[in-house]
Amino acid sequence: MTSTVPMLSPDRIVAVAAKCLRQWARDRQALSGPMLVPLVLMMLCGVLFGFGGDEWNIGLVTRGSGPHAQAFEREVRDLRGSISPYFRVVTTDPREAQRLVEAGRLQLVVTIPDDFDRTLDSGGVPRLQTQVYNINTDMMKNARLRLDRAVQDYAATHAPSRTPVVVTQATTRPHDVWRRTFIANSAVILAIMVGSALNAAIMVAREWERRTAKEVRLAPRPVLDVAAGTLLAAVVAGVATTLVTFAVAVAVFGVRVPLGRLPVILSVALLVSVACAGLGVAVGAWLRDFRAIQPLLMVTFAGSFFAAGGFTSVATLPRAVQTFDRFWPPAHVFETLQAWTWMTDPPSATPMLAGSAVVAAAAVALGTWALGRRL
Amino acid sequence: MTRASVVRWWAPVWAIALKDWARFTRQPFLMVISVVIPLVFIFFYSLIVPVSNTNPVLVADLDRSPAAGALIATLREIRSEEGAYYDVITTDPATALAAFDEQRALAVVVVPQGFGEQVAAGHATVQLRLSNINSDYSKNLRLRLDKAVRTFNDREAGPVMTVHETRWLGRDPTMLGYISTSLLLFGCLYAAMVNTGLQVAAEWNDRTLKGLLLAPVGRGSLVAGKVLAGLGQSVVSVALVLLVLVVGFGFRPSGQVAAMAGIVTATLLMGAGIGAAVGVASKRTLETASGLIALAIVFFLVSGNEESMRGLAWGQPITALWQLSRALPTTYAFMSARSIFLTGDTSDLPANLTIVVAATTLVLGLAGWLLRRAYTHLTGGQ
Repeated sequence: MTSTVPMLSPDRIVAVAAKCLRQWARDRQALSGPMLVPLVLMMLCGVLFGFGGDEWNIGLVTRGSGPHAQAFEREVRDLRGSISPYFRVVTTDPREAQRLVEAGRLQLVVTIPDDFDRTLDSGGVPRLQTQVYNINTDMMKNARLRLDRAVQDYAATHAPSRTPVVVTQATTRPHDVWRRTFIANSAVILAIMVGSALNAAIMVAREWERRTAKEVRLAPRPVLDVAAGTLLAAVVAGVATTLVTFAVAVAVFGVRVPLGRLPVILSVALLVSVACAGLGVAVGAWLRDFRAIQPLLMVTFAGSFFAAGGFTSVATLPRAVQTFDRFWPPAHVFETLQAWTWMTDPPSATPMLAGSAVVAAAAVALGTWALGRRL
Repeated sequence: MTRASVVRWWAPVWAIALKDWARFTRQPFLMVISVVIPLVFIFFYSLIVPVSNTNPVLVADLDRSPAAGALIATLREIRSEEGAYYDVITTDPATALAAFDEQRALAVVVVPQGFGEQVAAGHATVQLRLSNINSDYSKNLRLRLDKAVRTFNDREAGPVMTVHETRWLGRDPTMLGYISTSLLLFGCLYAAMVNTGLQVAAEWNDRTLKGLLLAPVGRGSLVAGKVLAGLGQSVVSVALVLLVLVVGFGFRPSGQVAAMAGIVTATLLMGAGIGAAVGVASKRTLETASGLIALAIVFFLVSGNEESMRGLAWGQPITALWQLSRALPTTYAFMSARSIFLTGDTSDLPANLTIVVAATTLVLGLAGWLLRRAYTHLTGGQ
């Protein structure tokens, strides 16, 4: 009597994977579609929210000619954050500055008044004039807080009696990670997830979209081999998606992964990729329609990039969002991989590795079950 | 045009739209996906909006003096017109320092022992400890702390200088209002583009195009029917988006209802035109869906941030991105919406609306031309 326990056939798995990968490679859209979201988010968010460092463009008009006015002007011009100057003076011409700020080309113009020195010398409090293009609170926060910092630093140097408290800063890294680099690395992490999940879902749904599901059904004992082969192909396609995204992140945004941490990072990435591929197989088998699969996966992952630690770390998000992210798996992926890329002393990866392994096993089982039911 | 000829033209348009809606409602999950997906993005994106204003922070108050209490009160008190700059999670030193040391928090403000006495002596320090893995967060925390310390110092020792501000608008529009306007327009563009694009591409994908072309109606009716079908699906989606923004996020648009409805309608039509053009150009649901989703996100980020980028665009590559945003007609829809919904400033509104209407007409014309051409030149496989 022969055994009825289904056995995996390596030949068939490789054959299914090769078939899926050949279709994937021949289909320009299937090849590039999953790369779109991480690349678009990296290029746009990296440039829009962090390419210029901390520099803020302003107009600076110095009407006063005395030493105090000159000292304050120097303070504004020389003020620096951790990565770059805080201000870039675009113009010092009052008319040009007014024209630019009224057109929204500048969001802040600072005028040091002509009585600045006279007021200070007589023991008074001089009054700076500013003009703002206050399009929203975020832009204004950036402009006003920088000016506050300039006043604070000026006071610390030139009026120490009026500066009983000063701020000191200690950092864990010698240099800050630029925001554009942080965002680009997040896009790479996103590519790991969306690449595996979307490719797996498309590979499964293609059987229905291209009307080849019947042939698969007619194959003897198709489920395990088809599931395993599709998973393998999806992980390979996901790796290709990730490598392309990573290459852009390295070349354009300066992402550098510490080599000594590669084993941990790659282990987490591989488990996450398998988990997402399993989920993708389940979604593909469930929906069987590109029209439903792509919006669901692309938009959910793109949204997760913003809310789950891709755009900014979870610890910086509002409390309610932090609570949500505790239960939202992509947040743990972003947090762990960002920590292991950038932190001097990252938290232990063991819980993440164990959790990812469990989730990967569950997702593969779910995907196989969903595919089996559909076939 | 006589009434009879209008009815004759309208009947097949309506029939095609009804046919597409019937097919749409017979696929309940596709229907739910189509309506709900813009909300998913809006939900996730809206979660990070408060980050621009309020940063959670841990304070390790090792001094417990009245001066330390006053400084911490100042941390809680400093705010923009949107809300508090800091959300102080704890002032317990053990909790705060442990969270930072265990990397559960990226920053801690340390008020050292003896702070109160040092303030009295005129030379105190407060320390910001940072896990500096994101320069933006480091900058935000530092600038807020500088502001709090400056405010504290002004109270203790008197101000060094004051600032008199002249504003473009009486009040700063909140980020919630700014982003909500963008999210509403994103909802319009996403829904109209993806729904119309997929309705068009589906005829080729599902091999039903030949049946459609055999109907004894003009090509213009087919084009109008497809646009109407996509728009009909989108209206439900946009209504839901607006409801969530108003009820869920407290968005309070301030313009006239007719003006608001006008810009939403124009944006929907523009989105439908873009969707139809892409759908007919690709003729495949796979690339239509992924291309249009990515395009909707591009419009949201590039067109939706033109006013912010304008002040930042003094170097590359941000200037190139800003110029791209100025070249996109969708940008003028976002700017018009912002004028109508948020700022009330109408100085550029006529010009922006003219661009929106002209671009919408052009893109609908292009989509119609592409559809007529594709319906006339069928490939052998169809």
